[in-house]
Amino acid sequence: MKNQFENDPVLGQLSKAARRPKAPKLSEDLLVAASKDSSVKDGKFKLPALFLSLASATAAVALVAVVANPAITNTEPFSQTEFNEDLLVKSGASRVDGSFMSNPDLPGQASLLLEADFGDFYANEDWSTQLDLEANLYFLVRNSQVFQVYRPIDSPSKFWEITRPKYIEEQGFNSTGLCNFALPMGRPSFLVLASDGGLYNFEPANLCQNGKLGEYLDELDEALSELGVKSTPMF
Amino acid sequence: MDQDKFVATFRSHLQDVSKYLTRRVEISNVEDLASEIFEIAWRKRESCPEGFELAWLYKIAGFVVSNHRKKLSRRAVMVPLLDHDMSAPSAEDVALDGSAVAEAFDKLSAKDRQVLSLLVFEQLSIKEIAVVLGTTENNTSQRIKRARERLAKHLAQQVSDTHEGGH
Repeated sequence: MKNQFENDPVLGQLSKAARRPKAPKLSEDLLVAASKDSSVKDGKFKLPALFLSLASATAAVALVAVVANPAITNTEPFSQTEFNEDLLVKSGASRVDGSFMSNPDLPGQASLLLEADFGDFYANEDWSTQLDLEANLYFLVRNSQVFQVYRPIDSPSKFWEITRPKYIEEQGFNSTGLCNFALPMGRPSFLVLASDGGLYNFEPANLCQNGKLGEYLDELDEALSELGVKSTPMF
Repeated sequence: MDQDKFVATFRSHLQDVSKYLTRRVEISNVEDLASEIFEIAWRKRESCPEGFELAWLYKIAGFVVSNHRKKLSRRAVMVPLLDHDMSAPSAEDVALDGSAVAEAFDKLSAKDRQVLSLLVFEQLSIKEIAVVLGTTENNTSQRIKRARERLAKHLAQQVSDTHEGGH
């Protein structure tokens, strides 16, 4: 622990109180075995067959979670596209770069909250009555594109920037354009299901490089925590 | 990165990953989950930041552990993601032997336990923790500082309660 906390008595107390784990010895064969499978293309995971079969009705589908204000009218020229609602209620647990999406086919499942001319908005919980914010967590499901709702919630002032369509366009939905494979732990995530069936985490490289994305998400996280949010609606 | 380099790079981290997992899951699951972690690492090897291989592995491990725990939970997929880092160890997981420390640690949020665990038990640097969390060093330091303050507060409370209980 070589940092400003190195000689901290409280953390020292924590360290001393923990017994060292008797961890099993892992063989190098594990690494060899893990690196034998080259069938999966770098930078993405394939979705389960069930998900793909559901997705086939609408071909490419993009999915993203955003924090947004439903009252705000988006002036971007979005086009209406077909959307298969089954994706929301039957997709099940899908592997997403080492993590899972939640299954909405349970109490509290995502429901259609708002129909707009540029897309449908889904959420499984409305925060506006719980918080002093005009904000909700929404999931936008669209065909081959990801859209933003052009408004941040209150204090996370720049949150909107990371969901702007231009970033998607810049990145082009390919693995090399995405800087990070992993969903931010414990924070809202942005997921994109691309036309090739790969489900990508959406973290634009231009934000990841300087840590801005993490700062924005932390900012949001902190703001919500301070407001007493105990859980986050996910589907 | 070819297979030889992959093996050479991560060979020295095998036991670190084993310890990380042992603090968070049943020992019988450690090898399977480690395999999963390294399979993901192999697939994502091009995104591994040079010099931060272990932190990068812990980042993957965090998701793998979270998924594993979700699978074990009946309400698995309804587990909210914002306030719960499913990979954070509990006091029991890390075998804390001091009851006051254990109780204080368990009173922390998962997020606090996660960041303190990476610092104290996994012995990562601030920079490495920032890689795991996907945030900046400054932000990481602030998170640690706040978590440490909350731990100190809980510990003081434990001492106070014990003291009062003795009279």
